[in-house]
Amino acid sequence: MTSETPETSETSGTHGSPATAERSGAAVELSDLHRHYGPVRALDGLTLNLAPGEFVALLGPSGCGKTTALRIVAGLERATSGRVLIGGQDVSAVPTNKRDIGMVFQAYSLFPHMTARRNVEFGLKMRGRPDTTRAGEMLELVGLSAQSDRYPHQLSGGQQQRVALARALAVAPAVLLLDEPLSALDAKVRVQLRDEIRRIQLELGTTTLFVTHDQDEALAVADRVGVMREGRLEQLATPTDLYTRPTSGFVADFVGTVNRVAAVVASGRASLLGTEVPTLPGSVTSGPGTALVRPEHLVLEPAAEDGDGTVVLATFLGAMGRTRVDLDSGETVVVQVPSGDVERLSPGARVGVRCSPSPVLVIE
Amino acid sequence: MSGVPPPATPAGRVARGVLLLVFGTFFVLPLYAMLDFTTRLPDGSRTAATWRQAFSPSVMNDQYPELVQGIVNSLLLTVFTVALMLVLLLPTMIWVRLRVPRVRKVVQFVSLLPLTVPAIVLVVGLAPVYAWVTYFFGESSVLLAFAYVVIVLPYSYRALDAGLSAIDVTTLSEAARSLGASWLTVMVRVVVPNLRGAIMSAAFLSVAVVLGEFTIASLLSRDNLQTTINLIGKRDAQMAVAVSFAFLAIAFFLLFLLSFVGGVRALSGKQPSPEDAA
Repeated sequence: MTSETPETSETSGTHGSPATAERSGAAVELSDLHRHYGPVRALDGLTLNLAPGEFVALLGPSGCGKTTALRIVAGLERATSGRVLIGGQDVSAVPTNKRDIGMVFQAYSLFPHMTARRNVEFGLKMRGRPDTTRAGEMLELVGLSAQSDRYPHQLSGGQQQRVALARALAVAPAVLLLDEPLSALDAKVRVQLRDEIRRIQLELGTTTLFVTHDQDEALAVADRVGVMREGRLEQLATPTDLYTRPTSGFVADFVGTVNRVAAVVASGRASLLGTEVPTLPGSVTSGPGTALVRPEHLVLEPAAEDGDGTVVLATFLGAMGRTRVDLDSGETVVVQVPSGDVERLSPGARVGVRCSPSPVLVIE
Repeated sequence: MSGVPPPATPAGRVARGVLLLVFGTFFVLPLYAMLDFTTRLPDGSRTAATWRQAFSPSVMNDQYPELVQGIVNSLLLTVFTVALMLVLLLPTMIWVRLRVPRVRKVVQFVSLLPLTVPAIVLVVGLAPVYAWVTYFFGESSVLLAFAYVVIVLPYSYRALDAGLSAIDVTTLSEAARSLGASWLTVMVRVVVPNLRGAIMSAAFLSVAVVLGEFTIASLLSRDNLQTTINLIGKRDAQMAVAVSFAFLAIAFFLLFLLSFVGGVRALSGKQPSPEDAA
């Protein structure tokens, strides 16, 4: 497991910038969390620290324990062992309604008998802060002032989740917990709301833990992304680092697309496809292995003589293209190409394949 | 798939009409017979005297005091039975859904069990219990509410269970809890308001069952509407049938009200327009 605290991690140029927000959230610490359901270990020693105001996404396949972790932070489930600290206070035994959290759920969770405004006011009343202007402000923040008197069944799915976000934020929680809030929405609304969540989070500076199985969502909004596997954190890093410097085959496979190409490692460099490239930390130190190469790190060259392989499929994807090439060595690779090249790369064409000098992870 | 039913074919319309006529006749004919019986004199002429008496409090008090008492008992029984049923069943069902879903089948089994036990068998079990009830609380017929809660349990359970299944109780309660609500607040302010239709269904079904109950009251020697009607029927059959008819009408009205309330609730939603979709 690779886990960095924000202080030690390299900051991504595009995402890292918690400094853009006024930091009003609390630090959150998940310490050696275990959650067992009989023989099943949903969490197996999860340790994760969120800095105040940080936005961390937990990413992973179904059953990896990410939702369980979030629910334990919320107090909706009890950990078998381990501690949860919010703002330095151990809240492991504190019931949900006494924790300073706001939560948005995967399922639509607005109270059906209340208007959008009354939904937002609910938390304020429960916490003894019946501020009449706060609900309006929050609805304005999510762009739904005009719909404040509508009932949930009169709102679209996207609007309902925006109201749910306003409701969770209205109580100015120390921690905002997002449990796949976008998964029930269609693609376009999902992207809109995803960006909106990030904008609002930066504006308010609330510490946020976001659970998703969608890597695009995680990479797009989070300061750091934690990839989980079998109840453990496989890697926690900035989106850029996670994508370009995966520390395991699982992370490389799960985040983005990788090609598996035979390589030989010697002196910290890997030799593959006739190219020598540096290896990433965590790679095998010497001898043969399998290099995990991103499609954009492979380059097609016109075959001067016989070439290295045959184009099987060329797909136009708008801004770029993808080509599937069967190498003569028996491997198949996917190569990202400029979209203008797709037409000339007809199936059956012979091409050369080279690797760009970006570092690669080489596994056994 | 659209929820709009396809337009009926002419043959379908005819079949529907015939079925409606047959079943309508089946249900309406006995009512017509009751009405006919209560308005017919021995010489074959018509009179509304029985109905005038039935709606005259002074006549009822003077001539049928036991009937008035029976009606009062039954009305009190409906109130107490419904109240007791809701107090016992509603929190239990919500709690089981939220906190101990594994015992849901057990609660379901226990709640539906009275449906399979004949009233006469139930009385055999209830008789010794009621000996103690009488010992502690007296002989009031209103105490039948304890037994009636048992017999309305299957109907109420079904109605409430359908209501609970129609909403995502778990997510709603978790959302409320995350916003700072206690368990009591979750039940009172979040779950119950969304079960209004189901609670009304359970209540109306209970009222219908209680108003029509005869066996237990009779065998436990208590007075309610049905036992009194039975008694009055021995000396004034027309009045007994008139009162039966009136209470049948009340039960029908309650059920109509129930479906009307449900219908209004279903139609009250305005769907979001396409431009609102985002």
